[in-house]
Amino acid sequence: MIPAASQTSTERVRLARLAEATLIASARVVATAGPDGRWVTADAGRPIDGVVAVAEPSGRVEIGLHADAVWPVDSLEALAEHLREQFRNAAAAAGLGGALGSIAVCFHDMVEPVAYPEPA
Amino acid sequence: MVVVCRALASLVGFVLLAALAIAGLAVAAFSLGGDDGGWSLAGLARLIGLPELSDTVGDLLDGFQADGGVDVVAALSGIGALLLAVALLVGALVARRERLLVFSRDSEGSLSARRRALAHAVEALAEQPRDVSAARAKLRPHRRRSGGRLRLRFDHARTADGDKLEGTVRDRIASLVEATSLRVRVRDRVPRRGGRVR
Repeated sequence: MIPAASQTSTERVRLARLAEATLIASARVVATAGPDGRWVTADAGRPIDGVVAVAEPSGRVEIGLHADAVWPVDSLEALAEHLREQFRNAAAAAGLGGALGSIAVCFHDMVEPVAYPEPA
Repeated sequence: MVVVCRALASLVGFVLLAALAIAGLAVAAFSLGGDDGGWSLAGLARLIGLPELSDTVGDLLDGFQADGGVDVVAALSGIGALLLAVALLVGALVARRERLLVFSRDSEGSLSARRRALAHAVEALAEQPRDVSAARAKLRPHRRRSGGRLRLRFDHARTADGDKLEGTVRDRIASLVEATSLRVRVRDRVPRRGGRVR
């Protein structure tokens, strides 16, 4: 069942959620809200870190993805294009492809990969 | 320069806030008393020597207005105070600019990276060859258009071939910078003393 909040969400917030999911799904980036929480989108009181969604006058939504790249990085351009493609596909699958405007990708830092302990 | 002004503004702001808080506390405490006794605002003024200060400042201002030549010390102090005020205003009002290197910008969107992060990544890649002991990258993004300049300097052992090593270093960083419209300049250096090669 779809939560009530999702039913009333704007396309902007729904796209921001998809962008967040895209960043989380990629093991090669980590979303960042910035030191003073500048790069977030508010979603019913919950901040969506690393995503800035702006509604353009044309009706489309411009998305900014802010992330730290996980070291080692071969090519930032290839990584950005990968993220864009994943996000476009997710938006199209959700029926929001028409509402999607430009996608800006900004890398703010290089971070070490996080090693998660293996489940016992 | 702006960084120094910001630091100065932060320091002065902190000191002034602390002084203001102490002064406010003192005024509030002495306001509880009444009349002209010791525990009153008049008593506080006497305690910190406000009448004497008023006389001193009055004499100083009278000296400024007096006839005669320009007092060089006073004039320099005034100019210094003006410069300090301008520096504090710059530090307080000029916003910190995010130094981003814009790789590309078109209708599909833009791709950018923070200058320092990219410089560190370039340094890490440049230090990978065995004969390179250290690398230092300086990245200057263009202000309006995409791209910028990258200056990379690396230290290497005296026995290593600098030209050959430069090619290796360029190959290492190529994947990271080839998509960018960066003008790359690589220089090698043999450290004079104390340099160590892994």
